[in-house]
Amino acid sequence: MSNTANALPSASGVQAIADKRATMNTQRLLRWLSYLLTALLVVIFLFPWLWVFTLGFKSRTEILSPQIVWIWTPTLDNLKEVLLVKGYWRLIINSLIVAVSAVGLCIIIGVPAAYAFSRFPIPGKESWFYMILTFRMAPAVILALPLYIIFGRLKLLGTYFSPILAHTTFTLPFVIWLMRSFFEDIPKEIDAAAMTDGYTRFGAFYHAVLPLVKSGIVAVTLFSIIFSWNEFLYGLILTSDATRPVASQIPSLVRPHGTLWGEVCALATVASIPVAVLIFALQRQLVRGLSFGAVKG
Amino acid sequence: MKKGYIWWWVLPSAILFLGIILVPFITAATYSFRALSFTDSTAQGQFVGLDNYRRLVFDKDFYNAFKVTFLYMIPAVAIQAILGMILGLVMSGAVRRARILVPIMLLPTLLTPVVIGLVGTLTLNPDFGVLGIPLNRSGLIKEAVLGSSTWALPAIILVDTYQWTPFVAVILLSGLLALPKEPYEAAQVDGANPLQTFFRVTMPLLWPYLVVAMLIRVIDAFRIFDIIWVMTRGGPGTTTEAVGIYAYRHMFRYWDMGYGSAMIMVLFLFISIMVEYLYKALTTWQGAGETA
Repeated sequence: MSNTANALPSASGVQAIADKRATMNTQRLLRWLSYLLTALLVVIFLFPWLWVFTLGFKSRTEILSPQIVWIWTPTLDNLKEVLLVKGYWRLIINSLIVAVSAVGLCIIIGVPAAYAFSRFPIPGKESWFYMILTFRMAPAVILALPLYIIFGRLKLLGTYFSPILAHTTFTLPFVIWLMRSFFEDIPKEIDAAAMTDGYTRFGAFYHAVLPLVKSGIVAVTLFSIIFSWNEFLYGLILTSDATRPVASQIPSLVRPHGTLWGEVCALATVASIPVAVLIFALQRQLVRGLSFGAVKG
Repeated sequence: MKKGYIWWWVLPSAILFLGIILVPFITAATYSFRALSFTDSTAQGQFVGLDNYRRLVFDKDFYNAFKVTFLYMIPAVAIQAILGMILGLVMSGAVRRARILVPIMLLPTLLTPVVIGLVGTLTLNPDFGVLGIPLNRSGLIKEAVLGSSTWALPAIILVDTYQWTPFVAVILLSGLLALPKEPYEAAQVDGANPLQTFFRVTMPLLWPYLVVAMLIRVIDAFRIFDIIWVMTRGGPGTTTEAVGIYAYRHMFRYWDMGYGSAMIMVLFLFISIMVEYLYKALTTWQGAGETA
């Protein structure tokens, strides 16, 4: 910097400034290139979705046209037919009932458990967590059959209880695993301070620690709702037509011949909107939720 | 604090875990030693020892299901790791200014898989699909992609890649954004070119992120079900019948509970071995994060 302070910078100083300018220009160029490429990739990633969603607002001839129709007058007929006439709005309500109940239950019982795992010397802690992760990652078919048999015995098949309880098999492990990582970010001194102020252990948890992990709880809740909303297999085999969630019903509308694509796409669009909203609401916590809290997003 | 007191915190979760996960799982474990089928009246739950497992060992379709799963998993995870790395690097420049990019990119990963399968089915349709029409007209793939025993599995890999590349990218991206500056300054002083910098500096620092992302993807690959169910239902023939689809067929089409349960046990063993690696990768990382 001493060079630039002189009225006449030395030759090497000029060279340094020119070099700096050149690297700044390359950097700027690289940044714009990155913007451009990113924009391109966003288009590539969104395009198939958007195309499928447009089908929900096209007439049958427009959908099946061998020349793809790019400009058309959107119609709400498919939406009306599938939701109102066929009464599939029930499926959306079913998804909502199952997701909210399953996740609500898991938050209420899972958050205190996660706190306990982050604070108390629970014997066999590591094996518990290993087991929790295993069942979180296990394919749904592993529990589908046993659950079918047990719910059958308890006469729960076809009721809302069976998909709700089945969905807790993956939401509970997720809640406990991720909430523990949020609790571990909170210094233990906070609990200690609250308890010296006269709170019981539960009081310290409830009044001092819980408010600090509020955003974590919101993230875990929204994530679990997405997982429950997206679940397919349990919703298919453990329910009846009256209690089936929307994700589990969509594949059965796709037939080898004569599928009403417009209606299927309209229903898929409606089913995707709540998830898309939640994804944007989750923004800051997305990475952490997806990587089980290992990466602090 | 009283000793028994701790248990009240975990008791409700433990009861639910026991009732809804462990009891069903143990039930399945006992069924795997019995002959039990809804469609076979001679199979009334009598003890048959290891018969179900013996049958599994000689079941060609079972090996086929594993083969299909690996034929899908290996290229899918490899492609996703490479594309995810490129995507992560490209995005790292733009994402600081526009965090909104992260949720946009993750839409395919988090939106309902069944709908993703639908997107795949429709775009690849040879008669009116936005991808299927050009493939068909150009004569590249003359048959219907999903009805072809050659192209159905690649199509599933394609859709899976579409769904999961952003996931890998975003995990790597979080690593890229957290990279320390000093090694790069040192590399610059040493006159390293960008390629050298990438392989000698960026890659080693990103390694733990890549390991976790890939482990999650490998285990996830065993769970693949929804996409295949919507796109091909395991067909044509058994060319896309991954383990999940295969198990489903035996359980809920043939209603063979005993045999299905044996399958569950073998699958579970497989998963738990891989989860052990994932668990180690996750916990060492969290431990490292705490000391940092």
